[in-house]
Amino acid sequence: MKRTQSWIAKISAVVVAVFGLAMTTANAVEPVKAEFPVLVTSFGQAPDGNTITVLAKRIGAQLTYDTLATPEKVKEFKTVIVSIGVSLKGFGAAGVNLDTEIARAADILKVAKDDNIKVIGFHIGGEGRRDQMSDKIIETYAGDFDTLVVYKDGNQDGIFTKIAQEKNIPFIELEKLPQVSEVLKQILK
Amino acid sequence: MKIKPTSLLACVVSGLLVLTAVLSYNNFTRQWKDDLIIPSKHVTTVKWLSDYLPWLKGTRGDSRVFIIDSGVPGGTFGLLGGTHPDEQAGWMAAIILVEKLQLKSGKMVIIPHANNSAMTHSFPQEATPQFIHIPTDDGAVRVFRGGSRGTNPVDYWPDPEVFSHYQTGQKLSGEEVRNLNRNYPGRPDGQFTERVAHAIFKVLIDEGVDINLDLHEAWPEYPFVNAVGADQRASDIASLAALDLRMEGVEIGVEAVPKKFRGLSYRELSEYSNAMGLLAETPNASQGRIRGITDETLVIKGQDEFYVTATQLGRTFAKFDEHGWPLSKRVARHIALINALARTYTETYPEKPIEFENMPTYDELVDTPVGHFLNSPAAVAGN
Repeated sequence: MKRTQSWIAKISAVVVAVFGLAMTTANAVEPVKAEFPVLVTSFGQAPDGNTITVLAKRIGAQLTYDTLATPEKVKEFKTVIVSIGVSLKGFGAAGVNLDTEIARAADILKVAKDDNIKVIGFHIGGEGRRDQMSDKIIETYAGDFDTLVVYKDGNQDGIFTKIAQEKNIPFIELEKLPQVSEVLKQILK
Repeated sequence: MKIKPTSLLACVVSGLLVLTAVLSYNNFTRQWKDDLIIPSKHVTTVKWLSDYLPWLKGTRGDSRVFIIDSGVPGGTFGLLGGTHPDEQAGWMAAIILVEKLQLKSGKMVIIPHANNSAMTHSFPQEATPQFIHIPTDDGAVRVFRGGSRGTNPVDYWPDPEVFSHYQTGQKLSGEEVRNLNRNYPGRPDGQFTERVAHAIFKVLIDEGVDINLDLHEAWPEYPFVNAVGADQRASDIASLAALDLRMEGVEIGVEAVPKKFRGLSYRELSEYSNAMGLLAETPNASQGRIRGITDETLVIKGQDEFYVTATQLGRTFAKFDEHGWPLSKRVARHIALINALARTYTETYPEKPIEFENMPTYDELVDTPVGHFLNSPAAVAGN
């Protein structure tokens, strides 16, 4: 029995090690832990925030998803998860544009800083969310997050790695998209 | 009696004109004949849109509705192909399912040619192919119409200067009056395309469709491509399905339904019926504005040097290389999405399962010519 337990421990250690390598951290800073309640919103109206909310629900964490959250609403939460990425369909659905999104993002980040609310940025849309408009949001605000979680496909040019290193932000790069669940477990536990 | 040379010339020219007219008429009306679809033994019922709106009977708008009922209670999956027939991967994926799909639980309602009138002509002045020839494994050739985007002007003409969506008053360009995906939920006594839209809406109601997917294709330079759009109720399922697909190596985005843009299937059918609304897009070079020679080879092989250059210049949302986006790959993406949606729907609503059996995987589909997944006409001849 002890032998079996020992093997399980060894296998687990290998799995953790392999998984740890697969989810590269760009610097030694620990990712922040979310405090509840947690709000999920979007900078750019891509519906990736919904994916995060659904995955969190799968691991038993109830998050509030509001793509158009106002600064006033943000004040009701202790942590905000921001899904970064522009969707023109999303703009149409929400009746907003890049300028209004940029203004809302600035207001949210200001409130978060003033009220000591943690902000965790996720970019999980891959290369498809690296158009000019998405890049404008990334370049303007990615440096203001307390942790950055990025799917590797959207970081082929290293833009997130560079921002995280320059601003000394905890940074997690996902090899595979489904690893979002593991990161959420880590952040939300 | 001596015939004057001028009279002889007039006779010859008149004869040639008549011959040209007859040949053109025959060529044009060849597209009016429904494509051969060879349902599998799992198809339990074949209905027509006119069963849901009798006015359509005998018109080019009438279209087949294939129902695969597992006999095991569960959810109902509605599938539309051919909303825009020149987006060929949509109807091809739907036809493959009619010919191959087996269900373990639940029901599938498939309309491969949602706008059948639009199947009956090709796009004027766009030089798009009238027919697509697909060889099957036994060497036979299945012939499908290339189709157009909108209803045949023979069925509705002339277009108004401005098209007004009846329910909301939304104003669009006049030609959109013949675009099925601007006319939902339609009207039983409206103009031609509104009636087709209404018949499809009735199918969803009468067959109790829970989740409805409309299969499309888009220009490679169009931002909504390689993506699935979902109404709010379908967003969780779409997100999970997209994650599933990405695990299989199929990169796909999820987009929200544009609430203020009216008349779209996944916008209106989800509002006026119980069905969750979804719409999928794959890239089709034969539709784009910078394409080269537009023939059935472009539709099937999906290779275009101009799109390769455009991709190198960063001007496309779907990346093109020398391999292009062949029909097999586009169909594989649609079928993989359908499979993933059924899985995630069943996972989310276990009391209403929709489970497929013997569905080819994405990897099997992507590298295999689509003809492999079609039944041979010999199967019909043998019956």
